[in-house]
Amino acid sequence: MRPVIEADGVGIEFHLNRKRRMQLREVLYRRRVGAIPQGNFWALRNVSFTVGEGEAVGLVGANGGGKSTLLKIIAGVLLPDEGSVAVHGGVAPLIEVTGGFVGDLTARDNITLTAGLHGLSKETIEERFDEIVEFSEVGEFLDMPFRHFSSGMKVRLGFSVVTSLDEPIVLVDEVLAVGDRAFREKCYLRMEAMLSGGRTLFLVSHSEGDLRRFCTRGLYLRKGELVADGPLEDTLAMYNEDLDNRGKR
Amino acid sequence: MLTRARSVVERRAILRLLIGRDLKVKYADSTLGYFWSILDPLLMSLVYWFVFTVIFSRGVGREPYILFLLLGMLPWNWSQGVIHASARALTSDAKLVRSTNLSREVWVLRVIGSQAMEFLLSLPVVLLFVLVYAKTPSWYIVAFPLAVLIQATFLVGVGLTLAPVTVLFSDVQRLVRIVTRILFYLSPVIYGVQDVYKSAMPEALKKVYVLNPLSGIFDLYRAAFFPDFFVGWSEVIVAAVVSCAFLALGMTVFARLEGRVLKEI
Repeated sequence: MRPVIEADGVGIEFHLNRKRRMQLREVLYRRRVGAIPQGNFWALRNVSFTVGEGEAVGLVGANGGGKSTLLKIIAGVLLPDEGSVAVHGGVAPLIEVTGGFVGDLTARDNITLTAGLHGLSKETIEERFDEIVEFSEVGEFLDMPFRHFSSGMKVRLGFSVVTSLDEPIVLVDEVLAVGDRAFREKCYLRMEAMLSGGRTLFLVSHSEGDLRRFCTRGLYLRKGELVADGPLEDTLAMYNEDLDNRGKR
Repeated sequence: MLTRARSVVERRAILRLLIGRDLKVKYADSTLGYFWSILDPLLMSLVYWFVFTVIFSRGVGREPYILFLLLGMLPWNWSQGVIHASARALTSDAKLVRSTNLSREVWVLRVIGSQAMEFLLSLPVVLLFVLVYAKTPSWYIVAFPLAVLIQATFLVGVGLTLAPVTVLFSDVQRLVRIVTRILFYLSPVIYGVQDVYKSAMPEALKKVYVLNPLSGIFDLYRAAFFPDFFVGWSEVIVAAVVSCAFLALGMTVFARLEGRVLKEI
């Protein structure tokens, strides 16, 4: 199997006490005042794994375990401080799917803009436009500014734009939790279609149902550390055991 | 650094898309759009023209002074626009920046590009006054695109430096506002480089003065209509060299700070 995602000793560090942005003064007088940012923490440390083409990987872990951070690093919207991630092939990130949309523009303009930013050519966008609109079920609101959309509509539109990209790697961060049941079922079907089309899937979810439905392999992140990497059932068992132990304490 | 530059070039379609959107927001969505973008430099030029020809007796520049002013004011507006907008380039569309894996330089280049388009679109105002005063252009007008190119190089450098720094340090924006206001008077906008050379300023300071790339650049713009006022190519070369240095600085700073910036926005 050809590797498509290779993470090697990935680490990223955040500053705990950085509530606001620094002022120049703090840099200039750092030595004198001794205001070197204290309390750094590693959201991820020494994370290494390889994902092969066509694999479906589920990422589990408690809140704050570094799941979303890892996904963002794979998507290339965060850069690791240590180690490296090599991603062979384009990525369709279903992370903050509504992030790419601009409130003042109409849904129509937003589709063109976001799809363009993700690398689709003008012709391809025109070709797929109707399909995107149909899937997202926002047809009648196409010329309404995006900020007036309901949150469900926003996510639907985001999902259908990003899943219409041709990228071989799909990253999903709990977007499936939003939207009504009918739409969720539609999303499942589309994701299954994408998977059977040979795409690589990387799924973050707290829902064991979703994980079992799509994934065969499981990664478990605990406090930024990769503690399990194996068949999904084994990883889930370990994760659940940890959760149970924590509950007892 | 070369690979970064190449990946920006590969994404030029996206850059066009973003610049197109900026212009669309500015022009297509309001009938007065174009008017607004020329109104500012035009009014400021009229004010300075009034102050320096009607109130003070003017000892600087050339006749017709309003044309002289505009040839400094329009490119100055481009510079100022880039400096102010690049300070917000990464934060104003933070969500877009955070959700797309582009070469992040694109967000800065987009600012420079859309401001450049605005500058080019405001040039007909110059043409208007050229016709009014029946001025014939000199051969230096051929070098006009060169001046645009040098200025763009300089501004890309400045923008790439400012954009990440303003994200990381909250008070830089305020500093930038003060510096631009000072820079306005330290650049040959309401006067010319030759006026500086003729002034009583110490020779050493005059050499420092032309280190500001805007000096050589604005002088070259003006040479198109005021060829006898042109101080020479050596100042243009200095401007080009300093601009390239700024470009290198900007590319380095941006690449260095990118990771930290992405955590903050």
